[in-house]
Amino acid sequence: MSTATFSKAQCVAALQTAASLETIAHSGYLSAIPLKQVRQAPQLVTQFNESAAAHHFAHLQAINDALGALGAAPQFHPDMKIADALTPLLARVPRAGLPAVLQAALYVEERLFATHTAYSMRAADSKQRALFGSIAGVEAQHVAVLRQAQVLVESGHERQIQLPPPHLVTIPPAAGTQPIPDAFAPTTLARPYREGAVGG
Amino acid sequence: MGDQRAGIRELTRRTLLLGASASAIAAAGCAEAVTRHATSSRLAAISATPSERAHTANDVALLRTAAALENLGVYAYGSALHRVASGQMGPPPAVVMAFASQVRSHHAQHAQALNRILERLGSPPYTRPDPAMFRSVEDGLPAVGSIKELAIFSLTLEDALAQTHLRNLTALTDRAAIVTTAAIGPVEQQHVALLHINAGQFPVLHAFGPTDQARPVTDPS
Repeated sequence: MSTATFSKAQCVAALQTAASLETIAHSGYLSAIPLKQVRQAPQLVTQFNESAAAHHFAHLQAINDALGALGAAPQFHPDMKIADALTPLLARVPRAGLPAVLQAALYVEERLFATHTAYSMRAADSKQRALFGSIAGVEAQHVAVLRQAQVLVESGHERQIQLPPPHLVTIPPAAGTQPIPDAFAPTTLARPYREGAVGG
Repeated sequence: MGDQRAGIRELTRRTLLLGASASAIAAAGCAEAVTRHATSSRLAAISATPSERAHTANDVALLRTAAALENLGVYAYGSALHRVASGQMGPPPAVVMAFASQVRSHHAQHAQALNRILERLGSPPYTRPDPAMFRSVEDGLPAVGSIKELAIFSLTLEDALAQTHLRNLTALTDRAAIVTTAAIGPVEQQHVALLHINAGQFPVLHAFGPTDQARPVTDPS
């Protein structure tokens, strides 16, 4: 992934791509809220779903506001490459339950996290850098929380998905290390900046 | 011809200024760092415009603030690990030990990366813990009696770290410093999220990373 600074046109495309990813995430969480597999999960899962949906909507609005300030078109359409990749993951949900829900959410969140991080490295203007950076940290948090839930579910400690976990001594060490494996945010999953550009 | 003479005069003045600042740093006990980076920083300083020098000085101040906090993170998690392992907060949970060890390692790696950039910019590395926050960690940690309290206690430092990096991201001008800071900030936010869970709080409080807890650049001085 290049770290060369964006030109204004490239930054517009990057903002539109980021918006197209936020649209996917927002609609994905909204559609997950009524699912039986989510409603039967610990209550924190539903709370996280609702909160993350609201965050992604706020991100979408802020990104489109930034596009407006640059005199560029807003982007409300989803990133179709990610939407296509998500389809088989979502098809597993009725059979696989909560693990499949978490896997699908992580698929989108890891790409959002990497994309916003990569774009924050490349934005030439400090306003856009602040926006990407400010969102990247929140997507990073979504990723860490989902990964920890994934470890707890896979290790049979689903009931520990509470605030705070009631029996910390029983939780495997992996729940403390796997959610944040890297000291530096990786950008290998970042989407190409033109992928979700309007008319791109 | 007049322009050339003015250019030579300016070049000579900058070289003298650089020599004076190098002497001052060496006198302060940082001779090794000065020797190691004299050539590259001299070349950079000679070719820098006054505006570029001001940007570099600002970047150095921002990076020193961040490095000081990372050093404090290494120290604080080391002390916390010792207290948890000794059983002072009850039976040591393996997940907490694993998390604290990993986070301490992250902060050590962050400090190294920031110090590499500081050295490249002609500044000695900053290897001491943030003096402005050190006392509260030193005095506060012994009073922590449970894992939940430890998580709440650690949040003060991690919030300061995450928000300082985010503030710095918008203020830095050096490309390597921007890229490194952009890669570190979200990881600190992840630390914050998992600490919130152990503190019994919702893990992701904001839709956008706040900066009101960012530390002032005067902290390390």
